[in-house]
Amino acid sequence: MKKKIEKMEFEESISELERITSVLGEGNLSLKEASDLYTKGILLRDHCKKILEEVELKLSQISPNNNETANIVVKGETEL
Amino acid sequence: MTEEEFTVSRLSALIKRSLETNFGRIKLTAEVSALKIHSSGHAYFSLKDEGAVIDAICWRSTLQRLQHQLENGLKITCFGKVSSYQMQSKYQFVIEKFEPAGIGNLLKLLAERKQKLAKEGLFDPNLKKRIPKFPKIIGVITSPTGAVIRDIVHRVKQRFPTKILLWPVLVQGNEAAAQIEKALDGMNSLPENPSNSENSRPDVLIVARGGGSFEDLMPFNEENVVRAVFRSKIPVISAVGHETDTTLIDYVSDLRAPTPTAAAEFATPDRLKLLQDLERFSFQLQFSAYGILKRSRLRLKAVDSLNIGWFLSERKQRIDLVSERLDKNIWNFTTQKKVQLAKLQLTKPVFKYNLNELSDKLKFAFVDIVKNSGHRLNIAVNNLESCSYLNILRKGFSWAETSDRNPISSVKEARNFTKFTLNFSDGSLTVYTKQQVSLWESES
Repeated sequence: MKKKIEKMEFEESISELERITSVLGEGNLSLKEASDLYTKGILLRDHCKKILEEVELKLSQISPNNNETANIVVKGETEL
Repeated sequence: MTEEEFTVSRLSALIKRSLETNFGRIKLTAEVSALKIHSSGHAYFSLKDEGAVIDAICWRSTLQRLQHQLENGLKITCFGKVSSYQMQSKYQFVIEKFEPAGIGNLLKLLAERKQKLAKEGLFDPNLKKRIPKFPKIIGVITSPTGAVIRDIVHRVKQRFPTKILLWPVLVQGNEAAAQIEKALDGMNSLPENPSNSENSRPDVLIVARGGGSFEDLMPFNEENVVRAVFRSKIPVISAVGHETDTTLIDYVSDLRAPTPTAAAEFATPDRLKLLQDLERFSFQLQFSAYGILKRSRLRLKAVDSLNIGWFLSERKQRIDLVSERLDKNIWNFTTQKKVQLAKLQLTKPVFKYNLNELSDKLKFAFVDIVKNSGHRLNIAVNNLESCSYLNILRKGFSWAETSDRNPISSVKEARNFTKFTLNFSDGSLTVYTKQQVSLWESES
């Protein structure tokens, strides 16, 4: 389960987390189901947190070729 | 030459009247320069063209009524009249109404273009693409220098640091429209998943420009730009000029932002809010899980006390009952024994632990039993004897029977026989009957 979650995009993860939270909130689950969901929820939360903490801004600039050919070169990358 | 003598004041007044009556209201096209807004609110400036200049004035009340603002270098078409300031005898143009020169034609052209494009369905609200909540790359089409890109980068960094891909373009002048169109198409032609991930296609585009004159914003009204936005597969956010400026790109874009900073906000989620959401989810998760655990524990407890407890207590009750009965029985038994013992002690006091006494007692008891038995035997024998028919016979009774020893118990039966036997206590006697008569008959 952990590996699968690590591959998930942020939006997907947080939607799933949202769903799990509401299902768990309703409460009519077996103890096994509840504990599985809880474990998954915690993994998702940590995954989301990690994404949020690791985001960083990179600025790239495209420099189109003067002779109108399609190839595009990244002029420079600025860490801000 | 007349000898009429004028005063300066009179001459000045005459000039003023002459100017005002000869020219009347006129329409004038010129460029504004040397603009000075006096603290009174009146505007003093010059109107010029390539060859000449004339002083101009616009009263505060007029200025307030008009939609446009005067600025140096602005070409205007104005309506007004020529007048003179009597005290100095300086003539000037008094403006009653003005609008930027040529703008009327331009506006008309734009209105027509807008109508045409709308008819084609380019502004259809149903065709708007959804702005992704979590873009991985934000493409920005704007000038590489200036406040706009700085504002966008700053805001994106604050909210949700995301990769920004800038496509630099001119944002005003004759070449701007073509460059913007090329940038839009270029962004769309970037590979979605390239082997080197640096230059992959953005998930959202921002086309931005800071504030400027109507003419400055013109590239964003150009048809080729509008069409390029329309054919973009990537959602486009437009942020051109100030909030009050609306260009055709704002109608065709998927989302219109009032400023470049706002565009950056529309393109990014709010990280702080997301972190708060996460905290909230985390709390809810734990709260719910705790709730479920607590409920399960309560259920377990309930099962414990209800079923197992009940089961146990039922058995306990049974044990209690049995033991009570046992107690009672033991008590009964011992008291019985005690009473028996007391009886024995009454009949003959004995020393408890004297074996001889005990054996004596046993002996006596045995003798008693034997005696009793003898006595009881006598009684039984007596009873038995008293029941014997012989005793009855001794009392004077007899019984009759046939020769084959069947009892005869009535006259009726006796009539059937000529001979029967009468038994007495001391023997028997055979009786022969002469005639068959009943006892009752013979008596009567």
